[in-house]
Amino acid sequence: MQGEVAIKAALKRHENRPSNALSLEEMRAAKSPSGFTQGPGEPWSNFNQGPIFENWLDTSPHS
Amino acid sequence: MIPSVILTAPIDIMTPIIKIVGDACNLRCRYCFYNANNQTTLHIMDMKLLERFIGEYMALFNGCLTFIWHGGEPLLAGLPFFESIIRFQQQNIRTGHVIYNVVQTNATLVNNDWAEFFKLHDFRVGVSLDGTKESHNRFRTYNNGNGSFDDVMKGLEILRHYGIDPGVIQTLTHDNCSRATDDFNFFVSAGLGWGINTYLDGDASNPSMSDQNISNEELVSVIKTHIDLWLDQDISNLRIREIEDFIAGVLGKQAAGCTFNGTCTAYFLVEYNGEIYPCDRLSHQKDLLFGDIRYQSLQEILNGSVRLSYAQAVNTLHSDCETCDWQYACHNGCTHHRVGGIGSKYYYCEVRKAIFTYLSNKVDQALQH
Repeated sequence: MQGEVAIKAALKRHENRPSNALSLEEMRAAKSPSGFTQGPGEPWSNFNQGPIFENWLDTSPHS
Repeated sequence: MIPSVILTAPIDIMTPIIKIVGDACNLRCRYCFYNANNQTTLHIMDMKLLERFIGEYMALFNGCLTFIWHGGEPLLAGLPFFESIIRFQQQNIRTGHVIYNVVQTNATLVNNDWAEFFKLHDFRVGVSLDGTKESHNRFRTYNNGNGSFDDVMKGLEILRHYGIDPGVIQTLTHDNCSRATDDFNFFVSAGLGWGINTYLDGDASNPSMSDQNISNEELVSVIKTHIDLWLDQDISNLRIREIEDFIAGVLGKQAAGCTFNGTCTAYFLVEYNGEIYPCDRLSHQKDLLFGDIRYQSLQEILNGSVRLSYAQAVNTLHSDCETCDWQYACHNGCTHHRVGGIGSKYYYCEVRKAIFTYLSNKVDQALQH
């Protein structure tokens, strides 16, 4: 199929990325939709490490 | 039951976009959302304010921290300013910190000294380039009306000479929609990856450009063209931001782009004068002024009522999203393009649905082989 190499390479690039679909439990566990709630010295959750930056394309926050 | 709020996870790391020279720029791109402002007067962020901001930010967050140096044209701040950035970061680094610097430039001021500095300090460089000379010079002009294409390409060449692999942001207007294939081929032949910024003047602040707004139909057409050409090329290392983000969505994976991820609230904008807003696209909106680091601590500002109200509005599920199959991958798009207000529906909602479906079918076909 034309495009198979490109698509499979893209899939490979994404295989280790975290899921974007939160479970209902995860949603309930999230204390606040507001995001930042932690201050210096507080434990950092592993739940969301923030935006993932792989290269410059990921760091230009525009649509 | 679908919750009434799209709960993006608590954010551990927020990413600053710092407009170190405010709106000032050596170009006068006709579509720029700052061109109604004074772009001639150069205000450079005060050195003590820069030092304090970097210190407070790095004290507040640990892990991989990315500083996005933006403008206006950030290189107008001069190389000594950027050397100070590195010095202040080095003064504040502690265990657990990994620092990345990103600069978004029009590349017209790039010379050997800049390129050497960016290489030495591992800056990731994004360049604004709209495609072929014809596409680029249509709107990306100097004050005298001359196009900037040749100077941008010269800057790109210098960056590459120093081993920097810049990426490109292309602003898509009504005019260059018709040149989608030419521009695609231009970027590919130049060995550049790119992402699209869509011109949409939702609040009609730039009447002379009202005929350049991109419709849903135009954007669907351009992205489908890109996808088809991308599939025709069929090479593994050609990365186009929109295609990557749509594929992530199809796979249920977290996309990189803030407009897909619902990670809008993970960013904040620092104006040259210390004012803090949600994003460069939403700066100058006084109702979204989170605070001012001249008078408040960064922690106080980021936990302040304006930011929390903004985050609540961004994350509130639009009623049309409740039954959408792609809600989890779209998150109601870019806040700036929710025409009618932050709680409104994403203007390019129909684009998202059409492209997710189109690409999903392509991925399914590829996986069957």
